Amino acid sequence: MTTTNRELLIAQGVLDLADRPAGFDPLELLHDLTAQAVALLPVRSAGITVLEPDGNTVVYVTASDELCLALEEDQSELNEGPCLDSARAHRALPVLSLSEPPGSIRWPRFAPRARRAGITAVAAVNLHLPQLSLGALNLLMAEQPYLGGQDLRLAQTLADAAGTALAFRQQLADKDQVLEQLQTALDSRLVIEQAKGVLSARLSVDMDDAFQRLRAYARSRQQKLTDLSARVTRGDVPADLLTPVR
Amino acid sequence: MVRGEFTDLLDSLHRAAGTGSDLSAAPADEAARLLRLDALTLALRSRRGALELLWADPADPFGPELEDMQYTLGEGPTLDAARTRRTVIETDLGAAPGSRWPLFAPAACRTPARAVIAVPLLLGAATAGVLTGYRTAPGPFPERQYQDFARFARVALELLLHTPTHALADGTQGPDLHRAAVHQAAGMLTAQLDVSIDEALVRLRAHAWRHDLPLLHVARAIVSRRLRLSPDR
Repeated sequence: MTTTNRELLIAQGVLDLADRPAGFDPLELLHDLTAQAVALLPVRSAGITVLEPDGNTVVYVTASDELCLALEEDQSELNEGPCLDSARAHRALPVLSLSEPPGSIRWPRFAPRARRAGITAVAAVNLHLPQLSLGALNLLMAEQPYLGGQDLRLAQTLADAAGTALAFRQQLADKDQVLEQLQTALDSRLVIEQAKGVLSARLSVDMDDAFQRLRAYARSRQQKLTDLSARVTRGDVPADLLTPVR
Repeated sequence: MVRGEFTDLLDSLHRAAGTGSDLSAAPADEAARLLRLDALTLALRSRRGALELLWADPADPFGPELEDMQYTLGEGPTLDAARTRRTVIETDLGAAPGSRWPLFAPAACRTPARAVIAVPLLLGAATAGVLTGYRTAPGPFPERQYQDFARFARVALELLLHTPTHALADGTQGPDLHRAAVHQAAGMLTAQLDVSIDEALVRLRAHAWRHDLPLLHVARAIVSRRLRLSPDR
């Protein structure tokens, strides 16, 4: 089987979307997704809409060009349109003509505007992480033939490739947060051990006693043990922490 | 034989990590043996950049000692791996160039260790800590041994990330902080000598170095009031 130029471009496009360096810019990735869609599919423009966590508000993230951006803004203004529906629906939107029902009926105000801009049909595929639907890759068409079933599957594959990169980034961010907490916990531990030493020397008690006192003092005043310990190690020991045993 | 055992260990640790286990699920002595090493230690890097030994075989005769040596002297493979974010290897501590670790290399040679490998535990742009292996025989680390070490480092990082943070912070449970006594002693010194914590840690390390004593030995002597450092240097 020989490889066509188009197949090569598709393979490269998928790799470009899935394989991103650590700390990449997600906005740039999504913009590249729209660019790949326009380059590889018979569509005039492509845009990304994302559903906010409230489950209803749809935000426009990026678009392949000004035309798509303007139409996305129109939908926001009219509060109707395929890019809103696709982001809310969490699933693919089949190709719908804007010149005839059901497209022209479903979006009575948006459809004429889109047609005036030269867009005659729309479709969308889902953009998602493994456990989470993010929104949609919207595809705007200006002429026939419109996207076929295989084209839509390719569009979904491109969106999935970008979703993979986003999922990896999310995973890394989650772990990064865990690590930060762990490293902060270690700093806390060091300062608590040091504060035990300070109290142990000042009160001539052993480390366990020193720790109990620190903890009791922090609890009774609803202070964080770490904050109290940091204060103690700076030599700023609260006077009533130094009074002999209760 | 060892190969299959090592793969089994990795598999079981991946499963343990998958269910949220921390480093206590990993037997340091067995891991060292299967990696053909004689000591294995893992240090966590604090947000302020301090490296604290968190995991080792309690019966390890020289791994923790070598880590404490680096902490005392302020140089060595573990510190280099954290600083450069790259793997650090010395195949013969007895023949290392004098400029590499002028204090650590000769000190290390008074222990049985002759070769060392230190791998930074990287998470994106962050450095979580360092996994360090020591071997009593000098010589290179063959490619396979190096690859196995790197694979073990990856699962160790997963386990490390499951360390219970509250338990680590207040020390009531969770992993043993190997150098706890050092920080307690530093706290005592701040009160006794009227110096800052950082200054107290410097005094402590200097005393251990000058008297050629293990740092923990000095720290425990201070904590148990068998030793009192004088105010002047």
